[in-house]
Amino acid sequence: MALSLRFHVVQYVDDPVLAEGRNVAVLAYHGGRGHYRALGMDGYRLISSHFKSLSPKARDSVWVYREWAEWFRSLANVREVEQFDKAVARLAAHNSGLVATSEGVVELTEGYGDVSGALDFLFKRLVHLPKITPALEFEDQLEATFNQAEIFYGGNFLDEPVEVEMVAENDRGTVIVLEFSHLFTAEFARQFVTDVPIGFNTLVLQGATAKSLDRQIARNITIFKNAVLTGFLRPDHCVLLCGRIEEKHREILAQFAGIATVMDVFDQSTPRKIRKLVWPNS
Amino acid sequence: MPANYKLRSIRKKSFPGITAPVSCSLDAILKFDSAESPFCVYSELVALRLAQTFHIPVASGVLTTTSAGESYASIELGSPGLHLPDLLPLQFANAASHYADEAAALVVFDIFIGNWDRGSNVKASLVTPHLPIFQGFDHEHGLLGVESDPMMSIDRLGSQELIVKDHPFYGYVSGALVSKWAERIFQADDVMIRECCELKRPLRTVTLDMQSSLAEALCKRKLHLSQLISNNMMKIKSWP
Repeated sequence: MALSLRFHVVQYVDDPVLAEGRNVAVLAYHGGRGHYRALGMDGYRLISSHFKSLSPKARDSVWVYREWAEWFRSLANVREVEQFDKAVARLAAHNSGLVATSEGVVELTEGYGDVSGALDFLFKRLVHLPKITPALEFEDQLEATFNQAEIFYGGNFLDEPVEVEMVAENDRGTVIVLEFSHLFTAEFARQFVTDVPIGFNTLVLQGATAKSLDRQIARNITIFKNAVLTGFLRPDHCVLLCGRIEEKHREILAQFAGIATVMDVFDQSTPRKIRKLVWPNS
Repeated sequence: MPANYKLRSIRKKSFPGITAPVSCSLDAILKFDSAESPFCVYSELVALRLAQTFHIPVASGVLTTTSAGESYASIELGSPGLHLPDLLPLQFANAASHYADEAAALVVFDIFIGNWDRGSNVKASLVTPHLPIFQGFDHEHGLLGVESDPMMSIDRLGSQELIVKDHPFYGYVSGALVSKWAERIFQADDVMIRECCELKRPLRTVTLDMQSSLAEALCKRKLHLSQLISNNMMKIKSWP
């Protein structure tokens, strides 16, 4: 016997004036619970780059999308259809951000399979997976690497670009500015955690021109050298994070010998190496 | 080589121009008086002023003027492209556990202003630990909006009636924290409550007399708030 499945399409509307939306999720209620498929969500894992790639605004909003991912998971546990409909009605009332835009019905026949299969089919048909640039793929992996290294639990980890100003203790008071993509400092550090800072910078090897790579390499070398020269970092606490190091990159990265430790975020041993730097005695 | 530098500062990297003042626009929900909610703008504004006085976590807003006259703009929470979702009923317990003090504050505040329609009108960050957010919004069914007739609303607020029969955080908040917030409101000077309610001019259809009567009712309600909560504590507080 055929059963009908009522589903709702959720769009991401970047600009309420333009009101142009991109399909990002499919919601349905069936069998006493909610069901969903949403962009970048793979079980409990969220691949941030899928949402980030929608627009510059979306890129800055990924932390909110993470909250929406949690909301979708909770919606799946809704038992009463009234509660589910109420939540969808609230989504439909939005004019920007995530908006429930249209409703449809599919017949669940024997050939169609179950609700899960129908949602997979609808998601594939309705939600176009964005093209992920190497830079976004690198960001995703970097996030996963830091999570696996559990560096967030070690102390004060600045998960965003930082500037450090070092001032010469002489009459001239020369200032040297050190820029890092991420910084771990001993402030608020817990037991067994290193008592000196660890400075991270990143270098995306894929998708960059040779000229751009040269410029980034020169900049990073200067920063790490100055960080050691000013006494802010120990040489072994200067870390350059790269992605997918290939044979052709070996020569480029050799320039960091003695200056910084080069780590490949796609290498499974990298989280362990970062952990060792943060918790040297554990 | 010994270091001859000292650390001056570690700060988030500033990009060119980011510290200079720039004009910007924020996403907001515009709310108007309507047949269903004829005193919405006044109630929203006064609820915000009271909440800010007691440090109750509610979303910020401003009075603004549109072609339909004065309206209330409730500023949306989130980032420019995406606002935070409203809490689902299944998330109430989790939110009250993450934000125990804030949830207790909101319960007491809703009882104080007679807001019987909290429902899902709460935004909270649950998986962004470095950015704690918990804010209630939508207060049109409190203050003058408790009943369809404003004078009846004022009468009910002046009585020792709970008004808020259901609340998303009933059963999830600590009795001690609820008592703490009730005490805070009790300690507030009557003058502050009057200043929140009396705008020194009529606002849309809300006259100066109505504003003053509301202030009196709230000053009276404040005196009985602890007792009112204590009488209903079994319904309000969580069980260990």
